[in-house]
Amino acid sequence: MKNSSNFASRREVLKGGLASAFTFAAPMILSSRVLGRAGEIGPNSRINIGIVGNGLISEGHRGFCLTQNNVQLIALCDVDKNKLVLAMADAKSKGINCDAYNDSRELCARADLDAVMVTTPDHWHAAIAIDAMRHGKDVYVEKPMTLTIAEGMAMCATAERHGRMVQVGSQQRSNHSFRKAAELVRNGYIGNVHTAVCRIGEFIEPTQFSEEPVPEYLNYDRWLGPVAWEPYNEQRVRGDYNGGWRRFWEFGSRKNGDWGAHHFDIVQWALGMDESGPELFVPKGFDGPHQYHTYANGTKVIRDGDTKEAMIRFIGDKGEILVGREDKFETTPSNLKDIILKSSDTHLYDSYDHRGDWLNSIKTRKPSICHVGIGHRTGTICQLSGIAERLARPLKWDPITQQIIGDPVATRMMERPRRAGYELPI
Amino acid sequence: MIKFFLPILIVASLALPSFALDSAALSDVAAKFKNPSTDEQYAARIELDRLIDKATAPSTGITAAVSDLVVSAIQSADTPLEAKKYLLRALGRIGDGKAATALAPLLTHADPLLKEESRTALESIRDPAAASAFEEALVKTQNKREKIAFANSLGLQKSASSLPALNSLVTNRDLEIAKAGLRAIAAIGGASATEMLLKSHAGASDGSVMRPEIEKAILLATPKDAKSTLQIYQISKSDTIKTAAFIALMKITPADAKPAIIEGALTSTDDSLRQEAIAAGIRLALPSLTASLAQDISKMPTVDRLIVLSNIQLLKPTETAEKITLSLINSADEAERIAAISALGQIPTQASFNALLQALGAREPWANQAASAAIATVKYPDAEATLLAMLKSASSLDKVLALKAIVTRPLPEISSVLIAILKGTDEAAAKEAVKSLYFTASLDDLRALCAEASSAPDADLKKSLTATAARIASRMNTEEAAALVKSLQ
Repeated sequence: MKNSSNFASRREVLKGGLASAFTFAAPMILSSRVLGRAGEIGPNSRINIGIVGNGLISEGHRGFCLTQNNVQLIALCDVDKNKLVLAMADAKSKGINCDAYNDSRELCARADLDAVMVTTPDHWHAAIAIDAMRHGKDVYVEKPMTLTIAEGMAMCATAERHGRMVQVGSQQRSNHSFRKAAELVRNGYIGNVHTAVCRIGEFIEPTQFSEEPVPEYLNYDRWLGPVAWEPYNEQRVRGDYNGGWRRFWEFGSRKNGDWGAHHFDIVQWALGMDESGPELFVPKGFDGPHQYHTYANGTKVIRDGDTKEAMIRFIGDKGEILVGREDKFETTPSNLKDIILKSSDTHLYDSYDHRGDWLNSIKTRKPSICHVGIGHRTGTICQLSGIAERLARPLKWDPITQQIIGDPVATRMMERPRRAGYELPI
Repeated sequence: MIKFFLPILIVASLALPSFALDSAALSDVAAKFKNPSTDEQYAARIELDRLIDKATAPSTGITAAVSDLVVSAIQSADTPLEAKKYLLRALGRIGDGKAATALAPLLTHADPLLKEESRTALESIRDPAAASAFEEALVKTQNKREKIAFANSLGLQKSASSLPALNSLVTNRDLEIAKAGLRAIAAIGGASATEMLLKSHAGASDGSVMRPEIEKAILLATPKDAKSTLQIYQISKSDTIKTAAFIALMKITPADAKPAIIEGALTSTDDSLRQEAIAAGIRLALPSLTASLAQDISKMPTVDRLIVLSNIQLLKPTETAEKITLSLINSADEAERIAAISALGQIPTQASFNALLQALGAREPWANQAASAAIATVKYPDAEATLLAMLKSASSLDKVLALKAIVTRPLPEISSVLIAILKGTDEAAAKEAVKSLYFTASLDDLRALCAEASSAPDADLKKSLTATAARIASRMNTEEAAALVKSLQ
């Protein structure tokens, strides 16, 4: 193995002339037009979308909606008026006038809305997504899909009850390097996979932060929503990939719900466990220096072990795969990366564009690449890892009954009580 | 400072000599919440959780004793308010019915924070004592937000004995309170809850705002009751509720009743309901639907045709599926054409496979991509033989299409055929062969190519083969591959 492969997509070759076969540009993204119609699209055939949450991650989603000719962004919502004003101005600068909301319930109730993108902090995902679905909307929800296992079950039940299409923002599934890695693992090309190592990282510890006056532009009560009351401090609510609200257990599962939601998701996919999950969760320091979880067949998924600079390292008894973003893809033996799957192999769901895949799912009413059931199972791993960490003890999990075994205290942590006024809609 | 702990300490020490949490430790941590340093306060919070969680680990078997300790600490006037907040959160994890009884008075405490923390702690304790506490508190409070929260907590307790209390909310003039009552009744579910909801429905006027809310509640309360679900399906004026009822009916209604329901839904003007009906009709092989699709699918709205195409693998007989799909393969609508190409990948017939190969040669790259993906997995049994015959045929177009196809559907031991095409006079096929080899060649293939290059009779061919080998080696990016190419220079 020398350098990481920057393999060109076969599609590129099929798409372009001979020259393109040897021009290694950025990974090919399927044109949004694939999901639209040839030529002009009438307003009535467009998908009307509203976005709830206009923080860091929403910019990409908003940009996507504003550039698709089969989408009309018609509504934006935020409890932070400043963020809302900026988002509205961004849309307006691209010729789109959206309606503004401070309360997601009003947005979800709009009859002319087809779909809602939920890009709030984690503690709001389920309530907004469920509210949207019970109003007949399809949903794109950022990862991790939910804050608790109980919310995940409620999301699945609501989507099934109303026949709604949900895409969870674990967009690594729509990256060809991760898909290829998952396909090689799934089809046994590195033999029996006994270990997967995931680079998750650490946030600094949370702290208690002193109370500050709530700024007039923020509806802090609604920002907190279902979470137990904590006094306002700007650092608690700040959107920050290195901390901010992500540091706190109240609003997420810390790093397990952050990078864990991406990488554990790919491991689930690769191992063919999308409808199941691990059976044991062991926190850091209990059995060695690393947190890990194990599947019934013995496959161990280690957090932050030696990933050899990859995001995920799959180790099998016949080889290894190192995979990461920006097309990091290395294999041992090296020729594994060039394997073309046989028609008899398992070919995983092929998506090149995560949000586009959701739009396609809305039109075809077929589940998307990271549908609600998958999001729930991956979210469950994030949350159980977090519960084990907080209780500082291992947890046994039955992925069939979806129950923690023999630990009533941990079992109660599968859900979190919600603050008055922020009950989960059903 | 320790007066509230003392009796508990004695009991606990007598009963449980290995008690992992003593009152002094709990008292010390509670005192730390008075520290003005926010970092220290947070440390105290973590320490408190750790103490309690460690003591209530499954192996200790003393959760009830710890629960008593925590209740005492909460009830003590000496415990700082901030500590009580976190003690209550801990109690939500470990508390039992006894704790629920002890904490019930806090649901009406004057301090709103303590009151709310008590409610959430009690909500987590699923016990009749907690349900009773909420029922009492529900009657006492006049605060709207509290009423809704207590109703929700009762719903989570799932105690049928709470139904009358909740039913009294349904007629509340405040719609949010009334809806909270409905949600809680639905969450409890069962025959009594359903009966209650049906009565409310009968009493609600046609245009009443509550009517659809009651209908939603009935569907939730009776997930397996086909009769009630059918009733809601038939009378609801809400498209969303009708669709939910339809989906439920497809799971619970007897098989012989389904065709009529589906046929009715197929005429709906609501896209969601109609599309659910199309998918259900295909799954059920509904003869009237299949006949109508076979006759002229073009009469359907495009949005519905997409549903047919995305369920094509379920449509029987295969001939009908093939006919429908081929009729849409040249659609002017890009999304529909892609869906049709993808659908061909689900139909393992010669006509479908041939159409897929044609799509590989289409001018539109998105059509090529869809075809390429479909060819990779289509279960047409003669696919390999067809491709091999095309590679060896005299037709340049056949060769090119087959060469495109083998990029995603590799044929075993094909390098000699590809090298022969490379060496041949068909320029278009040779160009395509370079691309195919680039993506499909193994180290053995590269070795064979290098051998051909080194023995090539003329300089141009040698140059061309060497260049192809170099590209393959570059893609392989291994020392063995590099060495093979280096040997040519």
